[in-house]
Amino acid sequence: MTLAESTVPKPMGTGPGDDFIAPETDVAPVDRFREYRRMWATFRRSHSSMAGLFIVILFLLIALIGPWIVPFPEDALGSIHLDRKLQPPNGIHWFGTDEVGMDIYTRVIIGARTTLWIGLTITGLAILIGVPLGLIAGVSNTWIRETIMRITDIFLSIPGLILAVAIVGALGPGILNAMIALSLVWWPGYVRLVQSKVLSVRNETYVEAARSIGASNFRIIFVHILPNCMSPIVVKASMDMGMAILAAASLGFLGLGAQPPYPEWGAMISIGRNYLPDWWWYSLFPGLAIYFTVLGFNLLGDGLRDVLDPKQRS
Amino acid sequence: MQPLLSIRDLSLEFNTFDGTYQAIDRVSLELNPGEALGLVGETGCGKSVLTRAAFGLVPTPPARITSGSVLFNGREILGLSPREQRAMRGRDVALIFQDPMTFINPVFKVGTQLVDAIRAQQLGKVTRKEARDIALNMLDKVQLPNPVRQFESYPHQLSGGMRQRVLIAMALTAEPKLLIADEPTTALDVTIQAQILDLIERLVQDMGISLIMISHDLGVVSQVCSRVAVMYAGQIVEDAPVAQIFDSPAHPYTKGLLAAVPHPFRPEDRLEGIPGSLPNLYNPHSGCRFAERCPLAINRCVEARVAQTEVAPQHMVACIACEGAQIDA
Amino acid sequence: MLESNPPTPMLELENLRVHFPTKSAVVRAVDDISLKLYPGEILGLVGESGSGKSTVGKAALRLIDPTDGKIRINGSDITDASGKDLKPVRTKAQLIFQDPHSSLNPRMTIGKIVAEPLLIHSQLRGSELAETVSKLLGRVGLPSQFLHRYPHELSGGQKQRVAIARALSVDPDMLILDEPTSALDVSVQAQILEFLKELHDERPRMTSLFISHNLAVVRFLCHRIAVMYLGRIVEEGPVEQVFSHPQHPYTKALLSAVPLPQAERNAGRIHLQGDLPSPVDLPSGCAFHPRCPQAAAGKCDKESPIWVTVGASRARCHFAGDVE
Repeated sequence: MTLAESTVPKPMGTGPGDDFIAPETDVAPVDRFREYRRMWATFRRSHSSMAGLFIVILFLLIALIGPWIVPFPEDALGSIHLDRKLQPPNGIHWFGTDEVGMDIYTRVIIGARTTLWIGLTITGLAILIGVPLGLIAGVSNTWIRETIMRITDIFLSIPGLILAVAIVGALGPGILNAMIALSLVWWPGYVRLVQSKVLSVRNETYVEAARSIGASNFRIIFVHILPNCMSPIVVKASMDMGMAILAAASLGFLGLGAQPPYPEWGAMISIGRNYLPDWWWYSLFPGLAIYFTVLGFNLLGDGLRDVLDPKQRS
Repeated sequence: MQPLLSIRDLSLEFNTFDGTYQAIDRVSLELNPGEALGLVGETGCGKSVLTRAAFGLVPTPPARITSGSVLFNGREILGLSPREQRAMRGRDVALIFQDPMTFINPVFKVGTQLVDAIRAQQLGKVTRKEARDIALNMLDKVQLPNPVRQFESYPHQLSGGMRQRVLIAMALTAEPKLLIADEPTTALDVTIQAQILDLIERLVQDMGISLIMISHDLGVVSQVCSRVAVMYAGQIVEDAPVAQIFDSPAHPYTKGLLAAVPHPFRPEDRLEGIPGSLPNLYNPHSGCRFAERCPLAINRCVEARVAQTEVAPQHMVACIACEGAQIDA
Repeated sequence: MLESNPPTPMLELENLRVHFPTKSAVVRAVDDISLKLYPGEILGLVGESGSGKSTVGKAALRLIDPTDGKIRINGSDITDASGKDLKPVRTKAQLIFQDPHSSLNPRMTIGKIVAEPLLIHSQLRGSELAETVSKLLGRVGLPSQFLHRYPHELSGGQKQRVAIARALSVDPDMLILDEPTSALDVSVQAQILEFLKELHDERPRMTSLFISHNLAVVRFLCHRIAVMYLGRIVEEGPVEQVFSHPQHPYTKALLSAVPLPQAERNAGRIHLQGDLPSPVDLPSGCAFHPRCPQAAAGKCDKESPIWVTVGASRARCHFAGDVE
């Protein structure tokens, strides 16, 4: 068969019938995952994004299998071995031991799980409070928006950590109260973000198109507006994981968060501080753990932003 | 006569995530001094990329010029340093684009920008006062109403048509030899478009400037140009005087394009679209890229490069079906 | 068939006004427009940017609330309808937008986009729904493989076909087409225009309001044309008559400015002075008089012209119908 026979398209629109426009002849097999592969290629080009991803995966892995790989599981929640107290890093105790002889390596590894739990809870609660409020503020035009946004402004104008310290002060020190306090100061950022995104998405033509076919408000909000606001939320959540971990560690350091001997990195640094500089390993290793975890989530967030939401960059 | 601009066998590809996109395929094009050429084609045909690449305005990478040469006034300009290219763009070649706002800085007054542009073009040899006089004179030439007042306005205070006039003034102050106008009226309303087209035609004639008008609209090109080159998927398929293109188009793509355009005063019963869509340019065959949509296609169309044949004086067509044919003009 | 009464218009706009209050003034986007579209008709609504033509289309479907006037669809007044009462309007009349890139939700597949009106207005679900959607795609010339693709994987013309399929899914009697082809290449535009024409041939009751700035396209597709300038209709009539014997000087200028796809250049082009005045501060008398080559001092800048009927068309100009 010659090319002429095989590719000459049929004349189009041969009169009223079912087939008004000649069917597209070029139904190329489409790579369903092309968009994801393109995102991955963009993400992979950046060394810092990849470093962030690696750190975060390592952190999640440690949090997952930590209790099964530590050499001294009994040290996880506190035990006393005064015979081996304040030993410097060595072959048995890789990160050294603390003032009651607990293995610091074990406690840092176990602490990852606490840290992950803290980060997820704070960010998760903040999203649960902030995103619905932002959505409501974005789609309503009345005093509801004004009320939500002004309350948000009030929260944003008070330094978060100081407010959190005040809240923990009222509720009493403890890891649970610290997380509640931080969640309470964390949500306003999401309200602002979601509200401004909703305001721009709701003016898109496809939202107008949905209104013109008679879609209900519920449908417009949850099918057309919210899915198109997800990218910046995901990016912010990733960044906030790191920030929330840092804030929780700060409360722990101040003695308002997790209480010793609970294996929480901030609390460990807080006690280890008293043993500086001679017994440096006591606060150095939990400090490095916080440093790398926060760095990892920030780098990952940056990378995700470049891939998901390039316009936000600048 | 030595041509002002001579593009020979220019090929250009883009490296993208999906592979190498062969945007321009061995294009040759000549422009004589004082000539007004229209470059016509649909989205993705490479008409903008071609002229930008010739004057070093396509960033490399991702683009890569794989073959060809561009002679401007007899001088090879493809390998010039960015500095020399900039100098040439200010002095010898001027460009205006569809959206004037992308070339006017919104935070500076129109006058300030014109004066700065003129002083840069004259390499600082004129004082601000002299540059201001040149600019006002030019604004007068482009018939901007109230030039002295507009001199002190910010770009957003001007209408689209006025902004395009300012941009034309800015482009022509250096009295370039060549003006490249890339869809200069596409964003404007018809009555304003008519004003701008008349203005461009008059200025180009008065100042003896050669013109390349890039457009998707055959009507726009016929108002201003004497010759038209039709591009399809990175190839020039037909190159002929305006009258020939409309009255005796030879290439099947040109014919299809003409049959798709409605005429306001000669209503047709039906419009013929061109069935199919642009070919995949990531891995194209070396023949005619229109072959897949062409009613006259034969095997030979896709096997090797289709050369241009002259079917009438100055009327070149790259189509096997036209080989050896002669059209009476 | 002889009818004593004229048929009920599919769309009737009566003295429609849409004003947008801004901080300092009122923008009169649409100012006292009356239009009737009869079943089977395609009316071209023509004007330059800022003329208010798109606002008319959106107000007719109550996507923008009118400031004053009446809107009737198939005889029923929808000017003050809300909620449930608007539901019939949302199925009877469908809107197609200029830019197919932004009128499709980027997070929905083509199948979901086309199915959405059916999910809202019909009882079809499951395999029945899927079958209907495939049929609709086939009807606009898209293969059913497109069901699972996302809008960004399609070309502009393909996306506009999806938008048309979505509009046709609820079997509307009226389409409001807001520059549906101006973002497309001419060869694709030709296909879409042919499709619309054949759609009308097949369905005698289908009525379209075709909003456009492209006169050639209007001449090809429409039966009647209404020319808008600064929120008002200045001339209205059958396309043949308006194109061959335009009455209003604005229509004449508009027609003379169209770049013709032909070897000969436009002869006798009428140049309009300056730009469109601001719709906040409309000129007195005839709004067109500051740019009008025929304006008569003392008349055009003082008195607002009334409709003058010439043959089958009418124009709002003091000099309409005068022999030149």
